[in-house]
Amino acid sequence: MDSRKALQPGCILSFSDGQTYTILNELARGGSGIVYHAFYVDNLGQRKTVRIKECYPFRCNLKRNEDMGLCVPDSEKKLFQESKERMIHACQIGNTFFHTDGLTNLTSNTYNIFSANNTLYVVSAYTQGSELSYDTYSSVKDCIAVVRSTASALEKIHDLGYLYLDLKPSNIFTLSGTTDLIQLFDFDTVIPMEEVRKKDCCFSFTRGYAALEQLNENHSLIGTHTDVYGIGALLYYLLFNRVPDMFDCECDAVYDYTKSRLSCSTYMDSLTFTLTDFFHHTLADYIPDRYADMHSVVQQLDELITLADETAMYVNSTHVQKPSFFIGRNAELKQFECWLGNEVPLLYVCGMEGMGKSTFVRQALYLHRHCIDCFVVISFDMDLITTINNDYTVHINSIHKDRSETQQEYFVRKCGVMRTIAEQEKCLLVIDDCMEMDDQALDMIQQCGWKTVLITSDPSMACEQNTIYLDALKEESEQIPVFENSLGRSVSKEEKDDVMGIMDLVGHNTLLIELIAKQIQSPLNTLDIHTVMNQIQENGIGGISDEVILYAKDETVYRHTLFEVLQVLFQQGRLSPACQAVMKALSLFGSTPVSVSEIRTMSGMKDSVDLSLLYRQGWIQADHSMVSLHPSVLYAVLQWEHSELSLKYAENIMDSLDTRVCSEREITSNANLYPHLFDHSRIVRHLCRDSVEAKNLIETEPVLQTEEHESDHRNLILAVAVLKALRSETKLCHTSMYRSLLIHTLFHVPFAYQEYLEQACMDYIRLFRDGNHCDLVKVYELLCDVLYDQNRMQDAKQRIDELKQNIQTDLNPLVRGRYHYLVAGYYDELLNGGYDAVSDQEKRYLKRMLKETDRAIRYLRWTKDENLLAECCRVKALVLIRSGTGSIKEAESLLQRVIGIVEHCRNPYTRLNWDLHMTLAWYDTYIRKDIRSTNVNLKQAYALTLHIPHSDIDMIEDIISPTANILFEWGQHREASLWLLLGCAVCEKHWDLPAYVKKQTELLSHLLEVCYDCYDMETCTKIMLML
Amino acid sequence: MSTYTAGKGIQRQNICITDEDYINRLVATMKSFRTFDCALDSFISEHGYTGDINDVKEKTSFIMERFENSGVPMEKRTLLAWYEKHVPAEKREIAFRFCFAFHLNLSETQDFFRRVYLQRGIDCHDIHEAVYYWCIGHQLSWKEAQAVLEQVPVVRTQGNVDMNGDVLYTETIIHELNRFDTVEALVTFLNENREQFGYNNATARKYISELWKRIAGENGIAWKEADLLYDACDVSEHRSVWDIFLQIFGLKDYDHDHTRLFVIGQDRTLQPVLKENPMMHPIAANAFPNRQGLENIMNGKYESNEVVRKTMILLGFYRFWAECSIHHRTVDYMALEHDGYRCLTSINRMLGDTGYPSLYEGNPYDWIFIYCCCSAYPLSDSVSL
Repeated sequence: MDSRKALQPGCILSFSDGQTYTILNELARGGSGIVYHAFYVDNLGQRKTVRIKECYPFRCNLKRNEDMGLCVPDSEKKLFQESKERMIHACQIGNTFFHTDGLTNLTSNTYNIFSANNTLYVVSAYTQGSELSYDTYSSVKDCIAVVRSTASALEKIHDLGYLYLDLKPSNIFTLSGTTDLIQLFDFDTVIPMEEVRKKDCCFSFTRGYAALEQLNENHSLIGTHTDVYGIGALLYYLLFNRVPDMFDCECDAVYDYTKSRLSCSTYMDSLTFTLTDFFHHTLADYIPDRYADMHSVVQQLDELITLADETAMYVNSTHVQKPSFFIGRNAELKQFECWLGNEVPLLYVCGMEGMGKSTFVRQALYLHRHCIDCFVVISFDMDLITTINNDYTVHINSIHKDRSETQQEYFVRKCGVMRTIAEQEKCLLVIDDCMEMDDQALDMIQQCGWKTVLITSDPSMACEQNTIYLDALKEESEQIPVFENSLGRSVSKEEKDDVMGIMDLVGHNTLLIELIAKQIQSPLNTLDIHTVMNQIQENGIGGISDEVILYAKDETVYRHTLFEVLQVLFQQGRLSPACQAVMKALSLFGSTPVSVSEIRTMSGMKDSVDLSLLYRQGWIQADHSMVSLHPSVLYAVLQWEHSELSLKYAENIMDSLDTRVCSEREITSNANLYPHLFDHSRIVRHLCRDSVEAKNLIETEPVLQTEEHESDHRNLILAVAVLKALRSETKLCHTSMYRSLLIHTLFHVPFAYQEYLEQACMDYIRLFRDGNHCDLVKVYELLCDVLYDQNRMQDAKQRIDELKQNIQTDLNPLVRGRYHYLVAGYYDELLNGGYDAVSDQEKRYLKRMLKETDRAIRYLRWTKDENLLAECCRVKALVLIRSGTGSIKEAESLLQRVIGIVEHCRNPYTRLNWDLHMTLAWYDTYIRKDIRSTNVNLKQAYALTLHIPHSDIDMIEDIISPTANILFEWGQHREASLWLLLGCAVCEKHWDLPAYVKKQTELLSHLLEVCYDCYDMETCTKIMLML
Repeated sequence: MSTYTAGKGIQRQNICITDEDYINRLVATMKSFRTFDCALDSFISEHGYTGDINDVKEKTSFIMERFENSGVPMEKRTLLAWYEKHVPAEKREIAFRFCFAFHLNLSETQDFFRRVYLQRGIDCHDIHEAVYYWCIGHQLSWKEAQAVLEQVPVVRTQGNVDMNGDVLYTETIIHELNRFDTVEALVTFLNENREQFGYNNATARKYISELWKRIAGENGIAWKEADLLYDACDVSEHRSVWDIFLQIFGLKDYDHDHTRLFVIGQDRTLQPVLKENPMMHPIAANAFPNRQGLENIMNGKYESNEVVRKTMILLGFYRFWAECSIHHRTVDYMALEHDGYRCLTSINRMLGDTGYPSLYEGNPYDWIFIYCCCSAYPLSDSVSL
């Protein structure tokens, strides 16, 4: 269809530069013109080959006349003029690029632009090579390399402020014999970045290589990432011999490399992983998924080139530097040398913190650097497998962890490659700061054939045969230079004794010696060595100064005050460690006095000697057998770091309290005593004429005097104090013990203590939002219950949204189920008992609640938490019964399921059973319409309460109020009123707690309704006055 | 973006499934989609109408004047039916007349179809529309376009496509059309390739077939999702298109005793569900993806552009989110940041590749999917809608 007529071979073009160019042949044709191969003869008579591009746009309907000129009809003049202007613009841009450092070799050299034959001609240098195509290169590495060169050229074009926007093979000229250089030509589409977003901006592109934003002509989305797509598409084409389609551009696209160049040879598996990742980040239709700039693309292509190398395999070696200062340790260095020469694969270097273990190993490696081909020095990270698997620190070119691999799988694979490398090179691995080791993983490391040094401060890890123990430098000749090195000057004879005194005070710890010397050397310091020694002696090391100093440990530079450093490393002070630990233990109870026997039992102290000593020294105060810390001391002690012993005490205390809190029964309402409340209630006396009738209402089992759970209160009070003291102790507040104590305390503290519950729930969320999500949801449930009770629905909604964010990646069906149960509860609260759903809003809440309950059931079906599943089924059944929506059959089926679970459970005294009977009472009221059966179920529910721990507020919410409602439905107004009065009397008992005051108001309002319904206007008046 | 579209976007962002009155707000949104005549009002306002937008007589006169000046025939009663009875316009021929009457260029024409007509843009695999494409591109008048049409064969586009044979894709046709400088060249091409205009939606069929293969094929997405959804329930080995459709729409479920829940009638159609749904706008319910339509598309039989487009959107949406669910082993996948836009982009890519306009918030069907993509639980929210 292309009717354009090219210039014939032999045709001569005479331009204004005085040269005549002879056309050899047509090289290519594009949308804007035709490219010719031509030559001219220079002043030396030499034939010079050039390329000439003729402006001859396809879209303009142009004919060529006999003398080679182009005929431009009037209708095409405007379009043709625009094409010529674009060609001039492209030529100017090409020149700009050519004269830009770094782009000269990557763009064609345009000599000049001439006018002839009624059109324009651009003359550029001819280079040996060809347009890029699938067949240009056969190896994957070459394909990637040429794309890398292209990306590099585009990066530079971007740096100049332009976008290329029409990358395709036919716009890339490859040079013979190299993949490092390509030449970009055709700059018709190149556009300054600032112009691209203009609405009238027009650019062409090529389908298959154009990004989605180009295809959609969405100018506002075009940017450097648009060229990134082109690079991805180009590499895809060179590897697969086709352009990517929609499915190749998906964020999780899977590529069949067996249909690509990669199928022809054996490439390392990491090449396909990385290539896939590259395509995911270049071909992605969704822009944020693409690399934002060409620099990242070039880096990734560099890595791909390395991976595509079928031959090389190497590990990145750590550069070993000589320590800036090292003294002594000659015997240990000799020991290291011996180990290097023997066949033992493993060497432990042990010593306490601050003894210079890392520096020693560095010195040893430096001394023997010529005997080893490759060093890898890394720090221990979590466990041995994770440490080795870190591809950044242990970088082997041919291997990378894929997302689909487990840590264990990759570890095995990496050890295999390490073994292969060790067959050719002598390799040494140093792992610093080693903690607990997995023996199996360690065995695998040993089998790799690498010499391995493990640096640790834990002597239990090491074994006698192949361990170097580093003790303190004891010789004066070794210690003084350490001090002097940090001090920056020599120590005078007079100062020497003080320096040695400091050494003794700090236990000859190398790091500490360095730190103190640096402190003295600081320009802000006004103290001399002698004064410092005295201060350490009197106030401990932390008292010297709070000035921030720089110090290096394990090759890392830190900035801390000396006190902070010492807090981390040592326990200092005037007290013995044992006394410090006792102080720490006491500080846990804050200002709450605790008996000597309690603290001894809970903490596991051997005796009370230290307590007596501290009392004698005035650190603690005592009142009878109850002791506590003086408030002024408490703050200071809370800042102290825990010692091993104090931690042990703290852990013992938490553990002991946890057991006590768990083993005690929950606060019980003493429902047996309810009938007697009528005798003492002011409200009952005021509103009820016949308290005997009221008392007879409730049939109880023979009264079992419920024990007073004083100890429950005591344990909970202590638990609350300990939790409060430890809530900002980072070492302890994140522990499982703290978590356990906190969560058990949370669920044992009576619901009426809402202020504490809210704060403690927030603490739990702050500390353990990333931990066990099941417990987290439970805590949110409790928090929301508190918020619901305070009518803070907006806050509750916020918390639910927050929870959703916290658990959004958790796949555990129990977590999901609990979450939906919680949301269902939220709608239940919004519904506020309006199950008959009269208003539109109530209908919506009801529907939403049912949907959330369905979701909860769906998830919980997959869990073993039958109780919660049964609870959800019960809730749904209850809602179906009370709302009259859904099918009776479904409600019955759900109830049958709950009954099945309850019967399956050996213990009949469960909350589920209690709730089930109340639900059955509703079922009897609305569905079966059987008053006898209703009463039986109500009585059974009440009877169960006598055996199940619960609070008064539970009793009101789950027994008293619903019973009154049910009786009201049956038209038994008198009985309903009496139940409500009972509720009021129970609330009266807790007049000091806001939650009960609020509850009492609700009950009175309810009572008002009941009385109004049965025309008891006298009582109504009394209630209204009370309200 | 027009005020109307922006408004729809804001409406969407303001509706959260956890809102107390979210269903009401959804229904209100569905009811607030503008009718065709309102869309036309916006169009004429953008194209020179300055009179009272509520004055039907004045508006009609304005439009008729444009038609008369451009020599494009138009019946006044058609306009009155739109304005007075608010009936939607469906005939594409009338849309083309508008384009010629208002001298729209190619991109304005495509936009007119997308935003006013709520239909696909020019379908160059229809010989008639290919002529219009070329004529609008070359700024020919209606009369000239009719003259060209007289020279080209009349081909029924509703034929079957043989995906195993040589298929001329619309993209190639457009590429060819763009090359012609003269009417003669265009007419010659159309006459020589007349048999290639007997079908359309070749790329769309290819994409839908591929998507369906991934969804319903052996160990495909629907099977894996069924494992998650139905626990230990027995899902039959030979699953019909209808069965998988029910799963996609969340209409297939089992109770705890493994009995089927929500069993829909035996007539294997979703129409009753759609009719009863107040959240389903008539435009969204019209040509709603169905079993028959999908089977026709995959068998190469003719299906309307609307069915093809809506089926593509539905399958693209389901594939994306169901894969997320499977990947994260959860039935109620909670969308992560970017997921929603990623999904929308992939649907738009598919629509673009197949010659259909990208998702538009002013289209009630599209709006549902945009809304779900941006919600916390896209898959379950789409089901609940």
